[in-house]
Amino acid sequence: MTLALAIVGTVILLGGVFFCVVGGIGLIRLPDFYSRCHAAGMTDSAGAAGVLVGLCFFAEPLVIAKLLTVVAFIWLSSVVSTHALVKAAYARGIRLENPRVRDWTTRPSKSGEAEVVVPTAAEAPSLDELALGVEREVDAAEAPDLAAEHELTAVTEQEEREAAIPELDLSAQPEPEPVAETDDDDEEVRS
Amino acid sequence: MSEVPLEAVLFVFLLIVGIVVGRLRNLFSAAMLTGIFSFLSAGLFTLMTAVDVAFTEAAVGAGISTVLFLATLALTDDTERESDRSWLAIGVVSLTGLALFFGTFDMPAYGSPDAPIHEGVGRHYLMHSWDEIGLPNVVTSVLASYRGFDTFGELAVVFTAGIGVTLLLRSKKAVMGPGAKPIPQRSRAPYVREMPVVRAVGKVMLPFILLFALYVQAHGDFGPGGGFQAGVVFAAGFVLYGLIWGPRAVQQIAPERLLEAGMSIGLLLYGCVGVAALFAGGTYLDYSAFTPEHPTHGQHWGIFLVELGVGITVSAVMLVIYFVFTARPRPRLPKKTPEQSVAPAPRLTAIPELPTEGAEERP
Amino acid sequence: MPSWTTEVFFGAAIGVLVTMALALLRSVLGPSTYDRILALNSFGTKTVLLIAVAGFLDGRPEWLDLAIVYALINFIGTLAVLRFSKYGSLAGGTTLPEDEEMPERPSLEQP
Repeated sequence: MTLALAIVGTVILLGGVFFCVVGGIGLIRLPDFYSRCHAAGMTDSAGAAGVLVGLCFFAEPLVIAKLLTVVAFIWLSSVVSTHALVKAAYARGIRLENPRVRDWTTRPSKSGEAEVVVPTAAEAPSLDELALGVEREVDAAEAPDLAAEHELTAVTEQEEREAAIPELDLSAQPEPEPVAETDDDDEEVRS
Repeated sequence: MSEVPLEAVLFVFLLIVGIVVGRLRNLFSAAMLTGIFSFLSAGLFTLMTAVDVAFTEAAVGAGISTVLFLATLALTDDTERESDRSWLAIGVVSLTGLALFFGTFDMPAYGSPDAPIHEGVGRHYLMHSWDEIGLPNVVTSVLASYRGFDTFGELAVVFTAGIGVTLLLRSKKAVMGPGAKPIPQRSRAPYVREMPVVRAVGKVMLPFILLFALYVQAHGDFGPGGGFQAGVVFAAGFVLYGLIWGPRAVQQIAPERLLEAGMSIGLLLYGCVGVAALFAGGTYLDYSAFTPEHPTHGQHWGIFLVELGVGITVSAVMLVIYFVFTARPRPRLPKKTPEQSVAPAPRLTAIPELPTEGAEERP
Repeated sequence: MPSWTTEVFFGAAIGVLVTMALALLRSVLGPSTYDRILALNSFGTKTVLLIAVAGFLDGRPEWLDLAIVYALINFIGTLAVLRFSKYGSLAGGTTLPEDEEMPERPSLEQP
């Protein structure tokens, strides 16, 4: 165990702890759920990797193998849990603090003014603009174009609603056609 | 540097979590905080170098227990009922707590070498375990050999829990119709489309979990591990499969009849090892009788078989309890909006339909 | 190993404890259930790190078996919580709806 290895290990270990603590602070101070998910994900990936890889420098080969196994498991499991959590929360409708795009989690303002930016396909940012982070302001009057622009790629709302209801609403009433014939039997059976 | 400050901090966390769990009305959040409580306890046990206990606490308390709490919540209401505050009850509990607290002042200090637990048999086990049993892990040698009969009783308790749950809670009415099959892998049903990442990662992790359970079972002689922990981790693998693909899919690999047989076979194996020791000329569960010329070899064999029995029964019981809880039909409770209504899956490419109050404000 | 490594491990353990405290705060505060689930998940990972660091602090790195188990169990717990919060039960959403009819109760009328 040389001094050099110990120093490198210490640096990486403390770097991992730094990411953990910063992520923890972010978990408390960030304003909305998705940002907090990012902070927690940072502790799971960079923080955990930093701590465990830093510990590798102080250990024998078998223990190094176990530490790397733990890193692999944490990367697979914790990160995927955070991903599943974000998907579940979005499906639930948890909204962003400052939404830039109107989607199903946002609600229009009471006064009718557009408070969110709705880009149209004609003015969709090019790859360069996306990379540079340029945003363009669009007024709400152009929003209906979005449907026409995206017709080719998107399912229409009607289809989406019809597709959504029987698939996911498990407690929905059955289709009218079969029930109409056997209505009385069902009421007796499910007394 | 000592670990006492670390333990002190964890105890403070434990206290905070305990108070919050007691005060929460929403049982779902309370179940999750109970998971945190288990993780904290496991961390504390580790800091106190009681690693086998920490292992079992983490596996059972944070994993299976959380799953079973949630399965129970699926069958009951989500919110705790308001109960009257009884000052008499608070008074009695506080007095008892204070009495116990003052009682601990007479106990020996934490970690003191002349505590009664270190006299007598404890000292004998620590001094002679290597000579008589030959295992590095004294916890396993005490659990499986010196106190083998106690562990037999514990296994019988686990078995009884499995039988009890089966007798009381198994319902003849399945929650799904008899034709219900798990969704095939390549189906385009929305549930499959929803969780592709989780499914892929679950598929990757599952063989490692099961392999790790076997490792824990075998490694109990040399490090933390043993039959109980291995059984729980093995069951946890199947529970993971069931959480992603559904209990019906698990039933295709591990049918309930097989699990019921497994519950009994493990306990029977344990008992039969004891009886075999009787036939070999020793007392009940005296494994040295198997190989009189090399008593430690007999001990190793006996402990291996006994831990195997423990592992089989524990994993079977855990899975049976999981099946029984998830197969019960969901009672028809009045709908509450936040947790129970299922939201439609949105797609960002189309203009989403806003909630009803926003419908008239579309530009 | 140099003698100052014990202090380093102790410092790392304190750092992880601070993060655990912050995650605990979020789990107590969190306005929505998903914040609490997030805090639970994060807490589990921090426990894994604490076990690993404490193992090295005590000079017994063979405690890492526990760390592996915790990582797995954390995953299972979070998935259970997610499936429950979306479908209301642990088995919801795992069979196709057309297969899910309840079996008919036997009729109480005499034939």
